[in-house]
Amino acid sequence: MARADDMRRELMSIFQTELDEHLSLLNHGVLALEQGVDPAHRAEQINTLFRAAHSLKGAARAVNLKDIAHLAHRLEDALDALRQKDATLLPRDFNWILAGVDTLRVAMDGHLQGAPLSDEQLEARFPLAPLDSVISIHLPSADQPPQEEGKSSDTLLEKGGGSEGGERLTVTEDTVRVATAKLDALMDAMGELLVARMHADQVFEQSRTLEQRMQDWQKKWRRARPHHQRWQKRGGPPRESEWAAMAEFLTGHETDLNALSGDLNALRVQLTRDRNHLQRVTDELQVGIRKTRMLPIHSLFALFPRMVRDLAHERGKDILLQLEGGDIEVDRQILELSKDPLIHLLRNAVDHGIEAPDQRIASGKSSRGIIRLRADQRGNHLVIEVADDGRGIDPEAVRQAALKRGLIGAHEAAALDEEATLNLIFHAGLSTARQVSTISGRGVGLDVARANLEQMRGLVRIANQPGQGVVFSLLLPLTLATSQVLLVEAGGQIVALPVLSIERILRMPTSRIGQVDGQSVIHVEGRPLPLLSLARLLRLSTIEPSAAGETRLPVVVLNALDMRLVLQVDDFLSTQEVVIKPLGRQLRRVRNVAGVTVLGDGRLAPVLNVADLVKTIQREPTAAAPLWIAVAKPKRIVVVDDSITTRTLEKNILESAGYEVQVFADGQEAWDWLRRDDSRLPDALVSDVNMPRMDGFALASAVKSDARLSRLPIVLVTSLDSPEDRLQGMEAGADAYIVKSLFDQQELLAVIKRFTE
Amino acid sequence: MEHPDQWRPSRSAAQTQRLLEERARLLARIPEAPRDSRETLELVTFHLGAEYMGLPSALVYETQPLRVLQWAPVPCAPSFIVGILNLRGHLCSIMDLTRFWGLPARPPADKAHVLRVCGGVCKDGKAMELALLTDDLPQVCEIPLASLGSAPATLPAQVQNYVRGVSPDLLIVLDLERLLSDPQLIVYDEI
Repeated sequence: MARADDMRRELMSIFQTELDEHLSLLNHGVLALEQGVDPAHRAEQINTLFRAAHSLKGAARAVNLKDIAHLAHRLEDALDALRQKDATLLPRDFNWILAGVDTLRVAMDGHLQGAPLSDEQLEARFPLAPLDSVISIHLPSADQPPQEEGKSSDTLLEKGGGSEGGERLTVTEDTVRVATAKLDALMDAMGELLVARMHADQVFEQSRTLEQRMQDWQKKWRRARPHHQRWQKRGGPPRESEWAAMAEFLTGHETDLNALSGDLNALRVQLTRDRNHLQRVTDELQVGIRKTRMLPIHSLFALFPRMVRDLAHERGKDILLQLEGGDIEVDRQILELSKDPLIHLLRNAVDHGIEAPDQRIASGKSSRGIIRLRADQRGNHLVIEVADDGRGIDPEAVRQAALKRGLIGAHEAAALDEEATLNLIFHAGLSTARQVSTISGRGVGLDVARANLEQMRGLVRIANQPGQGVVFSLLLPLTLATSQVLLVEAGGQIVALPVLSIERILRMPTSRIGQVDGQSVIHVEGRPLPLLSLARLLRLSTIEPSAAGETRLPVVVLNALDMRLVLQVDDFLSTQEVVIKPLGRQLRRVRNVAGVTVLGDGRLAPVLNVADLVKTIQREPTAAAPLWIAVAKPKRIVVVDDSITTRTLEKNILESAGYEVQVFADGQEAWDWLRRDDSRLPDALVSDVNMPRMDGFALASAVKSDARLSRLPIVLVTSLDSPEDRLQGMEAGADAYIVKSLFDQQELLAVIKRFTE
Repeated sequence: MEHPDQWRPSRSAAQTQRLLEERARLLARIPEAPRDSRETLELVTFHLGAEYMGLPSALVYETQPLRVLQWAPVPCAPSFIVGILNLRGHLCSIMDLTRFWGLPARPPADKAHVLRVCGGVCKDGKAMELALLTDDLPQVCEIPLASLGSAPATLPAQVQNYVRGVSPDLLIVLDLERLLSDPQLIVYDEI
């Protein structure tokens, strides 16, 4: 019984694949016929379609799916008549055939979900029309119900929204069809691995020989050792017997050493070879296994011609969909996730991008609009472009709509540049006046597409040419199995940022950090962007990031869908290809964290969710408290020297290292300033020793005996270098002593750094 | 996921010996009381702040000192999440019960250990798995079930919810199944 069930299941699975193939062939064949084929190939084309319907009927009977066999038969009859009569097809005939194809799919889905559709339901979707009125060489009868044309489109639209029963990829949920060539490549790599394993056995034997040789050697030494020890204990010349034993050991010494070194060398050579071999094989395996998860992108693109065609018909537009780059292989998960974003972009292009034929002619374009769907591989990334030659997006209309919906304030609206304005179309709930239509009015918008993109850690860019068209570019990873990340240190912890979201990394000179409304900003491509501390954003540490002493800050510019984010980190570490893992059973979703990755040495690094970071900043601006609060208050150093040259030199050195420097010409002047209660306490004092009015020693003692100032670190810089001077300086309270003759920039900075951190 | 029995905390040889002797002695004895009253519960015990706690050992799969483990804090996770732990490539979160209960925070102890526990039923019907932080090296002991009394009123209310009973020497036995089934454990922070 169970066996019969298994067989039935297996048979159904095979049938499902066959049905997919036939339906796909029918779909494309009918579309091709509709676009008009060369008359020479027309008969052949119709024949192919007929055969597909015929085979499908037979297969359906074999698995005892009577309704599908019945529907297929109906199609077969119609196509047969067409084949015989060489009749001309009318638009509604195409619709009728396509409705049949759709109904077959729906019927199959019904069976798969265990809820087969009733005959009436099937009949309603694909009515048996009298042959002559459908496949007709006559004019269509006048009493043709007008809504029939819309019918097939409606069903398709429901599906296009990504709902249940939508036209699926030819892959089912848990299986994937893999080309034999790919499996062969894996098998080859496997064979190579077996070779590597045999080598490992060899190396193991070699190491045993080596160990044996070591033991023999040690045995010899153990024989000679007592003699050696006796002689050493006693001193003087060795006795005859002692000498003989040691000489025997030493004589064999060279041979043993040579043999050992030879063995070691052989082992090293073998290991090097094996290591290279293993490296190559594991790389091959990794690529091979990844490839089994990959499908050519045309398996996704194949869904769209039909969709665009039906939509265009419904909108009364004439549109040609051009597909390019279908050969590029992409992880099937990426394919699944890009489906909805592409459906929305294409639907948008048909609905809002391409104008009606008369409008197009009026604006000097050809009546047929063109939508180009193009895939391209750039490095580790996949770029999918949806380009239309329609009317483009009017930024002003978007701005007005956003204003009306209260998404932005009037003040903001005025400040938005074109790029920022266009990005508003991804905002949930935005609909320009033009966008209100029966399709887009259903509440499915670009914001849905955006959610999927986030999941893939992908990006979208818009190039808009009003009147000429729009190009939407999706930038996606080729696979979700592994990701390129940049490892950075922030707040003392290692975190990973997806490379796909990184626009650039740079070491920004502190001098180029400006202030706007109390917010630190840097200019990227001439545009001021707020500079934020990643550690603070993630609440990683309470320690203020210390920028003093650093002349250049490590900064990452992130681009998350529609916003640029400039984050300061402690340091850049490296970029790596990593596997991102979920955070375990308990942590289903953690804000700002997409997952965790295990580094080569077993350490863990959280991988950040850049889209979340953007939202965090948008929702709670306080989380993004500017890092410059810390950086804007650099450590203050007081420099006292009667020589203007020395003073200026020290000031320059310290200032270029990010310190704020206050200079005084002698001890008295400095002291007068320091003891003023309202003066801000400096972080260190650098003073000359020999100065008029009040020398360095006196200044040091004065500072150290003042309650308020006593903890101020004092560095004495002097040309004097005698132990007495040092002693006197230390007694006066100096914390460090730098001799001018040895004076160099690094030393001064090192000392200051030590005392101010 | 590993098999539940794979990672029991190991007993020392002496402990095993004691246990075997004890079992032999019990077997040799002629039962005088109804069996129920001698039914025992094997517990993994540890200190947590001021409290001495025990968990049924059936749900404890392994214990390791925190300092030898590879783990990392998870930014932006709730405070009761100490971090994420790499156990031979298997990832699991570390949770501090005192923080979960809002008891006074304390610095992580030098001898802190983690107990990997698995059990309970989440919304999706699957078991919860996580690592609990302890202040010291967990021990294994056995107590008579009958000795468990009700929790003293001094125990904070939020802890009471998860207590199965308290032994005469004030060992708080937690209802781990209940704790692990608690939806409040699950972090789902969407922004």
